[in-house]
Amino acid sequence: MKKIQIAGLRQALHLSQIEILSLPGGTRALARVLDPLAESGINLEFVAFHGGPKVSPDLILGVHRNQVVATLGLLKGKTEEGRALEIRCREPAGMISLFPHGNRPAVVGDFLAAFREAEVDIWALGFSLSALSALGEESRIPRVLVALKDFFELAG
Amino acid sequence: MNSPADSPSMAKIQLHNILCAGEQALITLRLDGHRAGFLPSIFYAFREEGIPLSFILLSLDQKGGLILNLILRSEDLGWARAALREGLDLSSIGMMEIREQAALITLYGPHLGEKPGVAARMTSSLAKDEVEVLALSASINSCLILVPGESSSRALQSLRRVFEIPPG
Repeated sequence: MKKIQIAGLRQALHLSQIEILSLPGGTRALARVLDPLAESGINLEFVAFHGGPKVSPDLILGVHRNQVVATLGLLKGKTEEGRALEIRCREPAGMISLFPHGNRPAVVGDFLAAFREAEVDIWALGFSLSALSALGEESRIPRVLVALKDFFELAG
Repeated sequence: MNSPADSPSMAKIQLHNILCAGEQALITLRLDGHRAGFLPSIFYAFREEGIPLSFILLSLDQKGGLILNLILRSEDLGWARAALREGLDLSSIGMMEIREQAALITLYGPHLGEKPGVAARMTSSLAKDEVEVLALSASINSCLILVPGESSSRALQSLRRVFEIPPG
C-alpha cells in the first residue's frame, strides 16, 4: 500500500471533550456559551459546532483537563430557551492532528481506517484548512499513532 | 454584559487571511454507530471520483450514533447524494439532510490555538450581525464557518471588524 505523504502529526493529551448537546438559539446561543470561556482564559484546543437543517446543533469542545472544572463551572446553570444546557463530558481524552498536503478525501479515508485498524473510537473529528483533528480516549492514542504509520509518512 | 465583539477598544486579532467560497452544500448524515467501519470507503469513493471535500465534521450523538457533516461544492452534490444513499443503504440505517446555497468562510492563522477567545470573538460578531452559523470548526491554525450563502457578505464584513489581515 502506498503511503500518503504528510507535513506533520501532532498529539495532545490531558484533554477532556465537553459536549453541549442540542444547543438551541443559534449563533447568539453559541456566542453566549463561548464568550465567558474566552473571558476566563479557557483555551479551546478543538471546537466543532454542527447538527443539521432540522435539529439543534451540538457544540463539541476539546479542553485541557486542568481547565475542565472552570469550564464546567462557567457552563453550569446556563439556560437557553428556558431549559438548562445538556452537557456531557468525555475523559480522559487525547487528540491527534494530522497535517496533510492535500487530497482530502484520501487522507480522511486513511485516517479513519487507521482508527479502525487500531480499534479506537473517534469521539469527534474536524477537518480545518490544514489539519485533520480527532479526539478519542487518551489511553488509546498511542495505538492510533502506530496504526497511522501504516498509512502515512512524513515528507522529506 | 458586553460580549468581546462589542468592545470598541479591543485590539483586532491578526490573521493571515480570510477566504470565502460560495456555492457550497452541506450534507448531514445520521448513522447507526456500528456503521463507522464503512466511513473510510465513503471517502475513498470521493477520492476515486475526484470530488474535493471542503470541510468535514463528525461526532457522536447521545445514543452513540454518528453525526457526519460533509461540506462540498454544490456542483458535486448530485453525485455525493446518490453515492451516499447507495453506499450506506440509508433507507434502513440512517438519514440524510441537505442544505444548499451555503458559503464557507475560512480564517487562517497563524497560531490560533495560542490565542484564547478567537472562536468567541468570531461568534459574538456574527451573532451581533445576525448571521446564522450552520457549522463551525476551529483548531490549531484555522477556523471554518459555514453560513447561508445570502449572509456571506454580511459575515465577511462582520469578521473584518474583529480580525485584521496585514496588507501585502
